[in-house]
Formats: sequence, structure tokens, C-alpha cells
Amino acid sequence: MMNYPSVNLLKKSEQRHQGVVSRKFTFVSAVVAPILLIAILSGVKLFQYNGVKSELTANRILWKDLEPRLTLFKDENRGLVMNRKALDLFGGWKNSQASFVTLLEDIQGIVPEQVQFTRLSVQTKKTGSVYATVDDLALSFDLVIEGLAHGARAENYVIDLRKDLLTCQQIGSTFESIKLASMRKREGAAGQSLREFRLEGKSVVEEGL
Amino acid sequence: MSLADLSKQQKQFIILGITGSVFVLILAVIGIKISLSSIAEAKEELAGISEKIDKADSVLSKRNRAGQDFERTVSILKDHLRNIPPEINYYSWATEIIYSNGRNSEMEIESVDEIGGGARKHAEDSGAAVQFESYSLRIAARGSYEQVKTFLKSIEEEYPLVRFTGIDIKVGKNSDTHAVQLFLQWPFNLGQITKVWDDVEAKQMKIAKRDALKAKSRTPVPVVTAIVPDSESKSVVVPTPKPEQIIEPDPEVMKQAPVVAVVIPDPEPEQADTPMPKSDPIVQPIPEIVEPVPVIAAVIPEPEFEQVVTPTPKPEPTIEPIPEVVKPAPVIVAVIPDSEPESAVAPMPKSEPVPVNENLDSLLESLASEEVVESAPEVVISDPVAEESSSVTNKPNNELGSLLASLDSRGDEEAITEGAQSESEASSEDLESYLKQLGEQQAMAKNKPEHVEEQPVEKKVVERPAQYVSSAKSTALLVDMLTKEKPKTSENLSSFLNGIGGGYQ
Repeated sequence: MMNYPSVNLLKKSEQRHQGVVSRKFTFVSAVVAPILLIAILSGVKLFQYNGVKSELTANRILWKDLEPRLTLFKDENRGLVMNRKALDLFGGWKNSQASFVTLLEDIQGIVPEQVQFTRLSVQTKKTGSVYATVDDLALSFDLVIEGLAHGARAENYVIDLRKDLLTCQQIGSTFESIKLASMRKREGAAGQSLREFRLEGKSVVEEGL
Repeated sequence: MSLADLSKQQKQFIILGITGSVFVLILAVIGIKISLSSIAEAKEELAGISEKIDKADSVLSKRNRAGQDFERTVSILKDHLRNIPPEINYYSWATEIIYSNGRNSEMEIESVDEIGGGARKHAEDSGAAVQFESYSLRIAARGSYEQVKTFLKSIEEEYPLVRFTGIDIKVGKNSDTHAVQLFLQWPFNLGQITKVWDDVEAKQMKIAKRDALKAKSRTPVPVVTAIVPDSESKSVVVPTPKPEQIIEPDPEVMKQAPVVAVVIPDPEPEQADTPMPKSDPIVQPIPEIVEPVPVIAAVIPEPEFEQVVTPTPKPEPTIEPIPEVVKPAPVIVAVIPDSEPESAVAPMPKSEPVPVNENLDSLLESLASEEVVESAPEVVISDPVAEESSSVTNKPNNELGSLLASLDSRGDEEAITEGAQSESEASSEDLESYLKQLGEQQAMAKNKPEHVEEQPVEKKVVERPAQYVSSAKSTALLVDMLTKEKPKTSENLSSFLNGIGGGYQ
């Protein structure tokens, strides 16, 4: 059997790949395919981004319109809270005051002829001038009545006066207790016997009336 | 194919390609990362804004009620604020109240003093949003128990926010007059509350303004352009009834047209006969030859003027006045020069003396032949349409006929009377003066502005003798007078007379 020598006359550079796909095509495909993929992905993302951005822009415009209204609403709410507080304070202010006219009328109505006042004082101890809550507005009063009682039963007039004072509506609601602080015998200018007395009252509660 | 088999150039290409690919890949990865992060940020922001919008929507749906409550409470508080001391001069405000009430209750107020004195200072220092501060006063006074009660009552009733915090009544100089000390307080300085009101009001105004601007920008404004009748093209384009209104025939306006347009340029000798005082249009007679007639005829062919002319009452051949002629209307005046002035003016030249000369021979012949010639009939304004053709052609003859008839009649009258020669001289003098007057009035008519002719004129028949006696003698006299050399009163008249004389000879 003879061996025939095979002669390859092609240079190496002239040789071609004998596969299904050329090497050049494989090389180009390997380079271009990822680039294309990246481009497609980028395009999709860009499309998504544009969609989100346009929606965001629309929402920003909407928010630009809504934001001042919301701020106004918040301010109104804050103002409403303040107004209600102020109204509460006004209510507390009104409730805290005693009607001095009624009080004076009550006292005037029960004082017997034999009793003569030398001093009538209703004072509050409250010294503060700024009130942040309704409780701060409450007032407590002290009552002081000084006078003279004359007659045979002068001391009884004074005792009865104390009792009668508590029965009065305005005084009874304003003062928890009225006590006889002092009662002394004095002699009048005409020689008659007099009783000098002092009644003191305290508020029902310290917080208010 | 191994790397060793590749040429140097191929190797370089491969290296460059790989480097480029890597570079592009790196860039792409970075770009994708950036874009992904930006998309994520945008999505996050979008979600945040959407959430805020949803919350705002739900919150703002309750706004009406909250707003109403706010307004209601503000109004109540403002009512209260009227009863508290003002921000400035509160001591003056309080003392005024106290002294006036003390006077009314006949209680002698000795002094009014502030207690604490630092009310304002405290108020300014405190930063609380809502607070109450009391403005305290001590009143020293003298009065009876009843007077004190009256005083307290009046203050309590007039100023419900006044709070009495103390009263001290001591024995005074006598049993009826006591030494009284009163302590009262006013609520004072509500803190920042008014500031909040102002802020809310400012924001409300701002939003309202913005809404108004938005609404304004959304609404179209076609009405404004439609109303403006700047040019005819605009009025045509905009489908508004305005242009129609302009064209719409107004009876008063229509009637004015003949007077305005025509009378001015027409140098009719007959016009001179009738002095037309502007002050009294009713008394003024209308000249025999009425100029408006040709004008109306000229205007009629125009479609717009047809509308105008139709409503005009047809003048009857009597002395009926034409009241509508009086009122001038600017619309017609504006329309006349627009497109039809040529057609309107066109018939006017027909009154030139050229055709008169041509007909002169026949006229003089007729004068000579007929013993009795009717003078020109009373000029009557007939239907303008009917006169459209006839007035233009017959008018010069009529004018000349009346003129000659008047001349003729003068000559005849004088011929009947004795001393014809002297009287014929007198009549020639009359003719001179008459022609002079004609020339002057003609000049006046030329100089008259257009609107002068708009004066209301009542038509009156010019009274003339119904018949004139004509004879050969009078004709000869007339010819003699016309051919005689006279001082020239006006160029037109002299040429006119020369033409007559020459033609007749």
C-alpha cells in the first residue's frame, strides 16, 4: 500500500475555518451581542425612567397646588385649637367672677337695723396676671365684715347675721364658711353698750367660685 | 488559527477590540447602574409624593368643616375682643370708662391706678400661643352703698368681661359717704392668636388669588375681540350681530342722508331764493328745486342704501314738513364717501349750464310763441325713485323756465301799465339785483359746509303767480335786457348771460 503524501499549498493566513460559522462571525457576535443587549436594556430602562419622570412631574405639579392648601388647613386647625382654647379661657374668666352687685344686695338684705358696718371687704389673694389655663383663672375670695351692733341683744344680732349670711345664695356659693373672728364690748357716745365685731369668710374652694 | 499565526496588524486589532469592548462594557455597566439608581430615586420620590397627595386629599376633604369652625370661632372671639382694652392706650381707655360710669352713678372717683404695672411686659415676654392676661386696676372712690352698687352694676352690664376681684368699703367722713376701693380686671392680650388669624387670612387670600388666576387663564376671551368693531373684516369674521346693527336701517338716520350729501356741492340758483335760518327750521321754506331728490336717486342703487331709503316716508307734493331730515347721524355720513360717492355725485354735473344753452333756443321760442305760459309748477318732492330719471333731465329746463317766466312776467306787467320804457329800465335793474343776489347766494352755497345743509327744513311751496302774460314785446324786452352790457356781478352769471345773449342773437 502506498502512502500518498498530502501537500498543503495554502499559507496559514490563507487558510479558512471549516466550521459552520466562521471565526470572524463568532468574534463579531461575541462583541456585538452584549452591546446590543446592553443597548436594549438601556432603552427599556430609559423608557421606564421617562414614564416615572413624567408621572413624577405631574405629581409634583399636583403637590404644588395641594401643599399650600394643606398648609392652610394645618394653620386653620392650629388656629381652631387656639380659638377653642381662647374661648375656654373666656368662659373660665366669666365663670370665675362673682357678681359683686348681687353679693352687696344679699348682704344689704339681711343686715338688721341694730347692726352697722364699719368695713366690708371682699378680696382675692390672686396675684398672678397671666393665665394659660382655665384653672389659673379661678379666684378665691376672703370676706371681712367689721361693724357695730347695738341694743340689748347686740351679740345675738351679730351671731344671727353670720348665720344669715351663709343662707344667702351668692354668699353661700362664694364662701365656704363665715366665722366670727372677734366681738368686743364698746361703749357708745351716748353711753349705750355696743358690740364691735369682725366676721371672716373663706372661699368654698381655692380654685374658683 | 492560533494567535501566533496572526499577523501583527491582526494582533493589534484584536487587542484594540478587546480593550474597546471592555471599556464599552464598563461604561455600559456604570450607565446602567446610574440609570437604575435614578429610576429608583424617581420611583421613591414618586411614591412619597403620591402618599402625601393621598393624605392631603383625605385631609382636605375635611377642610370645609374645619374652615367653618375656624371662621365661627374667630367671629365669636372678635366679638369678645371688642370688650377688652385695645393694644395701645389701654389705661386711657379704662379710665374713660370708669370715670364716665362713676359720673353716671354719682360716685366720686378719686383715682384709678394700674396694679402690677407690668402687664404689657409680661405679655411681651411670654411666648405662649394662647394666654390670658389680666389688666388690673384699683379704683379709689367715694360714695354711698347704693352708688357703689349702681356703679358696679353699670360696669358689669356694659362690659361683661370686666371681673371685679375685690371691694373694700370703709366708713367715710359721714354715714352716707364711704371710702370705697374697687379692684377690677380686664382680660388682656390674647397672645399670638391674632397673628395666627392674620396668617390664615393671608394664606387664604393667596390661594384665592392663585385660583382666580388659574380660572382666568383657562377661560377663553373671544367676546372681547367680537365686540370691537375695528374694521369691517373683523366684524365680518366674528359672528356677532354688531355689524348688522350698524347696517341696520335707522329711519332717522336714513332721512338725513339726502340732505347731508347732496345740498352742499349743488350750486343751485334757486337755493339762494330761500334764506334758511338755522334757528327756526319750521318757518323756513324749501326752495322750489330741492337738491335731495337727485341724491336720493343716486344713492338708491346701492344695496345698503336701499335698506336705508325704504323706510323713509315718501314726501307728498304738498307743503308737508320733513321732520326726519333734521337729525344728523354720523353713520350715514361715514357711509357716503365709502364706495358710492361717485355714483351719488355723478348726477350732479347734469345741472351744469351746458345743456341749458342747448335748450335755450327752443325755450325762447316757446316763450315767444305762447301767449300764456305757465310758470314753473310748484316744485314738489316726489318719489325719489320716480324722479331719478326725470329730475336729472328736466331740472335745468325747469329752473331756466321759472327764471325766464319770472323775467317775462315782470316785463308783461310793465307792458300793461303805462310808461313802459321807464318801467322796463326798472325791471332790468331788478334783474341785475336779482342776478347779483343769485351770485352771492351761489357763492354762499359753495362755501357752506356739509352739515349746514342738514338743518331741518320744512317744505313750503313757493308762492308765485300762477300765470304770466306773455307777449312779443316782453320777449323783445327780455332779449334786449339780456344782450345789454351790464356790470359783471359774477363770472358764472356773466358767462351765462353772455351765452344766452349770444345764442339768442
